[in-house]
Parts: sequence; structure tokens; C-alpha cells
Amino acid sequence: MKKNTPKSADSGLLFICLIITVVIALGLGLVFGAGAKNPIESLMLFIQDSLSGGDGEETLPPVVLPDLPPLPPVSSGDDTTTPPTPPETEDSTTADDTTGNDTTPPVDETTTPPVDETTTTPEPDPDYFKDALFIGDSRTVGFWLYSRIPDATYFGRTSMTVFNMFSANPSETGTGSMTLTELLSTKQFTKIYVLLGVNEVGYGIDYVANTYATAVDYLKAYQPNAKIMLQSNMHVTAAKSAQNTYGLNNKNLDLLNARIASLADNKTVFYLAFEHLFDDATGNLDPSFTGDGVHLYAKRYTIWRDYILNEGRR
Amino acid sequence: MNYCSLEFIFIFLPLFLIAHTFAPTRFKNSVLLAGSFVFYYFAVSLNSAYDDRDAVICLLLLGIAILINFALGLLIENTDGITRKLCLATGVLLNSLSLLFFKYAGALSAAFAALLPSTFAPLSLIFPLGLSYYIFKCISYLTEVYTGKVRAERNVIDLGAYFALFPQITVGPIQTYADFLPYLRSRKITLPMINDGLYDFIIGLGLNIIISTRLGIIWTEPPYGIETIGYEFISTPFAWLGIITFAVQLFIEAYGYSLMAIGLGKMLGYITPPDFNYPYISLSVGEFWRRWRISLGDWFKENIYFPLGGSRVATIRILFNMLVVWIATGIWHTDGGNLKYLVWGLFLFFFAALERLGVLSFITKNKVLGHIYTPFVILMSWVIFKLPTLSDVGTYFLRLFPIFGSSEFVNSTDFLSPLLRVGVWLVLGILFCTPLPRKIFEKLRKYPPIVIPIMLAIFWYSIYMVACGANNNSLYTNF
Repeated sequence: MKKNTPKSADSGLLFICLIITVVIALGLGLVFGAGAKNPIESLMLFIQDSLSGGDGEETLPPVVLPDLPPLPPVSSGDDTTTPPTPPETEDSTTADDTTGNDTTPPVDETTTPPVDETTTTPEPDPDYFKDALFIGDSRTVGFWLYSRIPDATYFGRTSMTVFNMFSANPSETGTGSMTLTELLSTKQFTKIYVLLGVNEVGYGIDYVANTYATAVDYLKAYQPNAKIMLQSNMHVTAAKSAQNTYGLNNKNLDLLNARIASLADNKTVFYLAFEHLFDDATGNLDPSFTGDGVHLYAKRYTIWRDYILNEGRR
Repeated sequence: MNYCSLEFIFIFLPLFLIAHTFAPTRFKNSVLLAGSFVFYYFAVSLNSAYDDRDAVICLLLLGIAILINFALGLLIENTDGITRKLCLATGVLLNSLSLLFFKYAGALSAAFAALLPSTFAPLSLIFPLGLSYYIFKCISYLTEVYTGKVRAERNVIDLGAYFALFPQITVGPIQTYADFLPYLRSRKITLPMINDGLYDFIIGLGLNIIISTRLGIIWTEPPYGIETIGYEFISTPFAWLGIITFAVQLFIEAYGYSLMAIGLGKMLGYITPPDFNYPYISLSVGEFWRRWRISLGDWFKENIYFPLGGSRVATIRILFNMLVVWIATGIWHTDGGNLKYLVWGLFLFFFAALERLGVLSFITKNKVLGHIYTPFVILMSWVIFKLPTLSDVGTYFLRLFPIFGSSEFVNSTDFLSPLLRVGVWLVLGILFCTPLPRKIFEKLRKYPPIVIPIMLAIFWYSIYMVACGANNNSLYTNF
């Protein structure tokens, strides 16, 4: 181990260089930084933002997402019979139009109603999940890691939110370097399961729910033949809820779940409410199901999988 | 605010260094005491485990400890015979009881409240930050005065500056009063010394932020981390990866903080004894603990082991003395009244005792066997240290050694993704467990055009990571 005070070879040079770089960093921070507590932090967050392509997780992202191809027009009919088509990039009229509608679930009177599958669970079909896609945050990554349904496709990424789901970042669940946009553009699915909300619930229910609705519209545009299954956000434990980190608590999750449920039309968009399966008697996530109060223990993902297999088909 | 926070590095430290460096000699200790109080207040209040009220309470407790031990020191010096002994005993008892109270009262009251809910309400107690460190300083000060090694301090500000010394108060080391005394009397601060301190500080910062925080994700990061998978559901390779990573992380973090304390000391004009001496290259458990947290081991030796007779007594008595020291070590590390630390201390005592009796000398004297045996025993001891409860410890051992129990892992490749994420940092961390990087550094230091850019890169990359949220709480501050 180093004995104390070996003679410095530079007698003060490191000190001077450090002071110079600090002064430069302060200056740059004052020029480029905004919003952080001090110029150094501002500069670092600016660098982080530049490096990650503007996908900071703790900052409030914009509602309208960059790098999205424009949406195809909202179809006025025969969705169920149109063959899959990639998004029409030449049509530039609807991205804003769609966001304008996002608080009301699309009600399409002219669409031929699908066979009423909402009340009965179909017979087990081994191929049912072959063209299913699961999209979600770390909980979906855990689902893929510990209890995945074979054959399905997964696009899960830790810290995913409705704000950054279409960002340039790939998944952590075996889809290679593809972004969600690329995946949706290259392959057609007939079922898309979405679980999002736990990371962003504290940003404000209206803000999140409206963006959620927009995201659903985007999914519909990319995958016109898919049934979209919106999964309820599981609760967190009572202790975690009391901590209220970034507004993450069960009251907010319930409010958000209710708003997500309102997006369902039971024709192409469905809501799967299964958060209660993980609750204890008090209506919070059962502490014996989780190590950190938010994520399920590896073994407990089977509850979720069994629900999807048995009751999650429409 | 901790030593790695932006508030400390860019606000507190520069302001304090200016005030301290340019203060006249006779006011330097006052500046040091005031600065230490300010640091301590913000170290508590800006820590997510505490609030502002806790910070005031912690500061008051520190102030009370300084005043009481100042008075006791003078009393011990100015009395003799049985009164002198009584004064020392009172001091040691008061200090020890305050430590025990904060370590166990919460857990004990909760246990009583569970038994007799109508009579007892559980105490909701905070554990004052750094209490374990400054109380040990207080006790060793009193014993040094008692044995005549030092004279009792006449100036309460000077003594306060030593007890509250901000580079040491939250993570040690426990520098003794006798060792620090020359620097209380005068501290000469020069630019080369500040410069020298910066080297240690930056290396310590880099170890902590760049390596240690990354290694932590093996346990905590959802949904990959061991804690989120659940101990009973991890695969055996992951269990091994987990405990090896923890062993490296614990050392890198504690070593990093120790280097930062050494660096800060140099910037303030005093020398801090190194607290770690590459423990993982030891050939025996006994040697490991002579190289790990050296100031703590020395404290136990001086204040418990030697007064009990040390090694100059019959073998059975030596073993008893060792047992007392290991139980005390377990208690010192106890967090929230958890009894597992006693088991941890006894586990280490078992091997240290076998080594002392010479039963294992065929291993500890053999370089190959010693280098297998020591890391293995230490790793097993870290399992007890790391896992929250003894029941979890049992579960984890079954994952490490699945031949003793049923195998119920959920994903046999669960270790792959975490290994890919931390692999490079783990290798780097293991490298820093050996003297090699220090040797390379000492050679490079002769070439400022090479070493200064490296230092600046480490510093700014650490700052970048801290700004992006990498600065979590220390593994070694809660005791």
C-alpha cells in the first residue's frame, strides 16, 4: 500500500490544470446548461442529453416524438380486412390530427365488429402468440427473462415510458439493434400487448394518459390489423407507495389505469386488468412477491404469464 | 452531501480550503471545527435517509459527545487511583452505551412492542451518521489520556476539531488522538501538498464512482439484479458472480473513501494513516483483518485485546480475548439491531481461532493453498454480511452450493446479461485489489504530461457520472 506523501513530480500542475478545467466547465455550463441546480451539473446533463440523443429519463420529454414517420390516415373502414401495410411516409397530414383526438377512444361505427371474443376465452391455441408482440418497461424485460411465452416477440427496455418508447434505443429482449419503429415497420403482428406507465406516472396523469392514447394511435397506424391489449399497471408495495418517489404511488397508478382502461373499445383495443392478482389484502403489491417493491421476483412472473395464457386472449 | 457529491466538490471544499489555508495558524482549528460542523449538518440533511430535524439532532449529539469527552479527559488527568479508574470507566461506558443504544434500541423496542403491544410502542430511532467512528475516537482518546500516552486536551475547540474532523467523520478512518496531535498544534499547507492530496482524492473518487457504483447493479438493477430476481430463484453461477462482485465492490468503495480521506488530509496539512493494505492478497483470515480497515483493527487491539492480556496469556485465554474482539467487531458493524453481524463475527472468529491454534498452518503457510483458502472464507463471510437476514443467508448458501438443496432457479442464464454489463469493471476492480495499479501509477507520476490528462479524465468522468445520478450512499457508512 502506498505510503504517505511521495514527492509530487509536478509541484502544483495538477491543481492548476484542475482549476483551469473547472473554470472552463463553469463557463460552458453557463452557456449551454439550463434547468439544473448549478452550471457544472447543467453542463454534464447537457452532455448526457447529447450522448443519448435527447432520451434523458428523468427529464420531461416532449409529447410529439422526433424521428417518427408520419402516420397513415386514420382508416374509415374495413380495418380487419386490409392487408398489413407499412406506414405511408408520404402522407404528412395526420400526426397532429391524431394527437388531437387522443383523449377519446376511437369509435369506428363502420368497422365490421370482430367476432365477439370479449366474453369468452378462446380454446388454447399453440400458435396464438406466434405473431404477438409484448412492449413494455423493465417489468416486461423481467417477463421475457423469467417467464416468457415462447414464440412471441418482445420489445422491452428498462425505463421505457410512453414518451420514449419510439426513441432510437433498441430493446433488451432479443430484437437486436432495431428500434420499436423499425420493428413495427418490418413485421406485422396481430396482437400487441403493452405495459407502460410505472416510470412516468408521476409526470401527471393527464399528460401521461394523453400521450398513452397517442402512442396507441401510433401502434394502430403501424399495425392496423393488430388487436392492442393494454395491460394494467401492477401496484407497488405499500412501503414503496408511501415513499412516493417521482410521484410513483398506487393512487396515481389506479388513476392512470382507469385512464388506460378508457382507451379500450373492446374491438381493436382491449384492457386487461390483472393488477389485483399481485395485491395483498390491503390492495398494494404483496411484499412477498417483490424485492424492491416494484418488480416481481423472478418466480412470480408465472402469475402474469398464466393470466396472459388463460385470460389474456381476445 | 457526501465526499463524491457535486455540492461537496465544487462548493464546500473550495470554500473551506480557501478559508482554512488563509486563516491565521491560531484560528485554523476553529475553522476546521466550524467547517466540520457545516459538513456534518449537510452530510445528514442532504442524505435521503435523514431529514433536516435529524441533522439538528445528529449535530447536537456530536456537540454533546465533544463536551462530555472533553470534560472526562480533564477529569481523568486530574485525578488518580480509584477515581481516575472510575472516570475512565464512566467515559467508556457512556460512549459504548450510546453506541449500543442507537444500534439496538429500535430493534429491541420493536421486539417488546410485538410481545406486549399494549405496554410498549416501538421506538423510531435514527442512527446518527458517523456515530460508530467518532465514538471510537472518543473512547481511544480517553484511554490514551488514562495511560498517559497523551495529555488531556485543554482546548475544547481543538478536541472538537479532532472528533468532528470532516474528512473522517462519516467513513473513517479512526485516526487516534496521539497520532493526530502534532497536526492539531500546527498544520503547514503547501501547494505541492494540496496537489498531492488531489491525486489521492481523484483516484479515490474514480474508484468509488466509476467502478464501485457500476458493480452495485449486479444486486440492485431491476429486473436483472439479484435482489429483484429473489435470492431463492437465482442460478448458481449468478450467486457466485454476485458475491464475488460484492466482495470487490465493498473493498473498492472502502478503499476509495480511504484514499479520499488521505487526499483531503493532505489538502488540510495532515497525514492520514492508510486504512487498507490490499487485504485480498492475504494468506490467512487473520492477515486479511490486519490489512482491512487497519485503524479499526488497531482500535480493537489497543482498547480491547491488549487490556484483556493480548497474546501474553494462556492459549485458552487468548482465544477468549479473540472471541471478545470478534463479537465487538460484529456489534460495531451491526445495522438496525440485526443479529446476523454477531454470527458474521463468530464465523470469522472460528477461522481466526483455528489459525491461531496452528491447525491451518499447512494452508496459511502455503502460497497456493493460502490464496485459495483466504478469499474463499472471506467470500463466505461476506454472504453473511451482505444478505439482509440469516434466513436469506441460508437461502443464498443453497444457491452457492446447490448440492445441499433443491434447485429452483428460474433462468439458468440469468448471470449473462449482468456479467456482460459489469464484466470489464469487475476485472478492473479485481486488478485494483492488487498492488499493480499503484505500482504503475507511481511510475507514471514522474511524467506529468501523461498522468495529468489521465487524472483530469478520471475526475471529469466521475463528475459526469455523479451528475447523471451515480452517487449513491456508501456501503460502509451505516454502521
